[in-house]
Amino acid sequence: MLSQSTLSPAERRFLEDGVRQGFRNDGRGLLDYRPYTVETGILPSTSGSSRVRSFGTDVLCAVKVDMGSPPADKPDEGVVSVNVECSASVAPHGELEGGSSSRATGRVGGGRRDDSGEGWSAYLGALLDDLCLPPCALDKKALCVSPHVYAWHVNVDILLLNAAGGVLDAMSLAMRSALRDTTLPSVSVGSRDEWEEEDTADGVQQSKPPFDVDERPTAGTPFPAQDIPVCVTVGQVCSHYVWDMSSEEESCAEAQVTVAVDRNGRCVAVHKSGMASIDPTGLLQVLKDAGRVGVELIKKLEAAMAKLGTGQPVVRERLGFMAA
Amino acid sequence: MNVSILTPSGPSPLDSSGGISSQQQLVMPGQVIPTHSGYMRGHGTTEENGQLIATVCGLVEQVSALIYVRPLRSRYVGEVGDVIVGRVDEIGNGRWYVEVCSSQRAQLHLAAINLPGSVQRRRTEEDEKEMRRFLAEGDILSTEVQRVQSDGLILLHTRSAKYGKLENGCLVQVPPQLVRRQASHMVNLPCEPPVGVVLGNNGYIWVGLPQRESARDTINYALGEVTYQAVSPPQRQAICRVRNCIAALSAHYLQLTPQSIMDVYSASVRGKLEVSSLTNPEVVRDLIREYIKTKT
Amino acid sequence: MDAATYRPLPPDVPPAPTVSFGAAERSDGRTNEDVRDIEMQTGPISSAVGSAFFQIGKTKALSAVYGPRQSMRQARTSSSGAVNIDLKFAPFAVPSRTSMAERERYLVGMLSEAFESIILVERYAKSVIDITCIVLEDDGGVLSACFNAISLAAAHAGLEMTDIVTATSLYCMEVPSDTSQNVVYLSDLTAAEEACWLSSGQCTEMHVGIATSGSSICFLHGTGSLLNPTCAEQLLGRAEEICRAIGKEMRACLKAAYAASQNAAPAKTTATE
Repeated sequence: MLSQSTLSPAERRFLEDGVRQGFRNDGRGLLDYRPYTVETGILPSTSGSSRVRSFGTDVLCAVKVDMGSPPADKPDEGVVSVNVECSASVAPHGELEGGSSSRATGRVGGGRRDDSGEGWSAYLGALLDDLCLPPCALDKKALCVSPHVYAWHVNVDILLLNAAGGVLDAMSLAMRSALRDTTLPSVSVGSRDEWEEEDTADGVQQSKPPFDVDERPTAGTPFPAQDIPVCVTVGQVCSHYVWDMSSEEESCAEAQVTVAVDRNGRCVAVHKSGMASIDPTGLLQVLKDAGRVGVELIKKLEAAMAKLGTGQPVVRERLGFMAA
Repeated sequence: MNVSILTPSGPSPLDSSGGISSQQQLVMPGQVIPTHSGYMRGHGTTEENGQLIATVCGLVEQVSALIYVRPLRSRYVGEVGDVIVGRVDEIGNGRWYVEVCSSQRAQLHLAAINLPGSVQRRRTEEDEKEMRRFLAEGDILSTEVQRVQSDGLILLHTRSAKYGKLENGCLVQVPPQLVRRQASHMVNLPCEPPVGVVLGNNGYIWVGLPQRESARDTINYALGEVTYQAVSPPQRQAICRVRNCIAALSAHYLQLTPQSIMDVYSASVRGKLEVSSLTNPEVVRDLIREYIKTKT
Repeated sequence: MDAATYRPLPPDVPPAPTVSFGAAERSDGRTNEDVRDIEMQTGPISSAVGSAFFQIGKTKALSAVYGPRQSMRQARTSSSGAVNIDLKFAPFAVPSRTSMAERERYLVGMLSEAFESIILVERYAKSVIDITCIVLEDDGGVLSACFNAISLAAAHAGLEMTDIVTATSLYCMEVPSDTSQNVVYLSDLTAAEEACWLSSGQCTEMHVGIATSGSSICFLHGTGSLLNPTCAEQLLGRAEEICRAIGKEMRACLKAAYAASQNAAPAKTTATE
């Protein structure tokens, strides 16, 4: 596919004039979002999963929970780690790579990923973790099973199948829906006198209590995901703020601001990218609008998930793994 | 502010009805194509043990003695006389390298364009240095396929009034199979106000202000004449509505002709649909359903 | 992370793998020769030229084809095209989060060799075809699942190929019985079965890719002590049956996809002036 980030001056002028008139190339107003299609529970072998699509951008998210030890410096908390991987067709700036010299032609030893692609994925994962899972949004203490002994390790894996603008927004929606789809199993940890002695590699004796997991989905508790925010990204095009940009609009945006908003409209994180600087008054307006947009998005997301039966242990009729 | 989240709703309305028409034969790779003697082998086929075997999934087509298989999905394969909309990727060696959604970039040689001032002369070194003045990297242009080499390389030319740089509009990309050869690829659609459309056989479609009718002689057209024009709000609405209608037809894999685009456009106007609502897949599905009903 | 690792399992954890003669059941109720249920779909990734989803049992593979498109490197080095396969395991595809890089590289090597012979690369001069494949879940039979996913995606993308090629994995091993050693032939192992038998070294495996219109073998990789003519004949015979059955399903799937799109087009008209 043609690299969408190279626009001719003619297309750029047409797009920018449209923004000035408040009428974008697909007829949307500056604050209008393209519809997202959301599915949950598509990977039965995971604790929770979701797929979010919007006009080309395609994100798959899977959550797996493992029992492990709490971190040494925070013995009463669990651990959540976010990992982003991009399909090989998605290069750092959302264009498709063609014949890149860093890739061998698929012979033995080939199939290496482009280094900058991996760097970008790692950065996105860290950014998403920072913006959407700050302490005020996720109480990691709820993930602790037994302080100093056992805590849940939650791995959130995000696969970016295709990028066509609004990648962070789609990823945050996918992460929130997958976490809402996740149930933490009920665990009972043995009492003090039941602890077994174990020999570890360096001969030091360590005791670990046994634990019992109740496999039944109905016995578990839902993952505490209600306060997790979603990201809304706005771009600055010719001094106007444009929401939910397509990839053409992204290539015309001088700067972008991503705001993480929770279900009450509270802004919990903000991040600016892009080369131009932003005027502070404009930024304040963005924060206000972001609050409204975020509340709407989460409300509609919750409605869609209720319709899908997200997080409920019953077997739902699915329209095939990859419904159209 | 408009925000919506949908859940998947199953197959599109076009999946249920019957099979392929009996005149068209769907073949798969490895399948033998029945032939008569004296045929010529075309694209999408190979010969083995005296039999003609298909190498792509597609429909068998026959044009006099030439038998070929037209794949229902693929990148663009060039044919002489096709109208193409492309984007300049690189400039060098006295030619423009044009991205046309094919397996190789197409080439437009300096000798294959008209020079400004309607001069007919040999191209000089000055012209080569000035190539960027005519068409720079990233520019979009409409051209025609002059020749296709045996290795698939497409050579383009713009020696006609109607071809050249495209301005005052936007580009839509669709699968190349949806734009067949037709009477006219550069049309002004009779919308209110009129919208100009250039349907590239390679799947790139330009939607913008109507093309000016050049009063001058066809040979005297020069590339540098297209200029920027301000687009008024009603014009912009019409252009964006056409763009969304084309995307709607493409999403449901329907052929793109000036007629089909106008029909969907009229249906959307009759249904009083907002231009932005055409970004909603459910609205589009209903619109296409209605369009198909009017066709049958 | 230390201590016990908990992985949520469906309520019915399958018992340890078993095998015996005749029609006796394996742990999931199949006979030795049965292949797990297959599901396939074209077009899950609409932004690619062609794409396919292939599922056998719980193993899931998703493949997409991009291109052919210009490759400067190809233009310089050779006159034919190239196929570039990128395969990865999703981090949630296997229970433990170990690096699969080595396994990915090995699979890519084998699949590339196979598909460069199946796809008519000489017709895509100076271009490269990028194929991605993601393993969403690994429950055994990953090589053949990826092979089938890529084959279906390539057909969906309209790439020129010699045939519709499908693959399957077959195994055989000697099992002591009352009188002597007998050879048992197995089709399509699950991950639990693979872990139990393949690592012990007793099991001979053979992965076969067959062009389903003829019967020629496009892909073959086998290891083990039982690759003598008798066993090989049995294995290849069974492979052909299974591959043809999968090929038939693939053709039906492609036909359904094309019928849907073709229905919507107006009646065929001759080329206009």
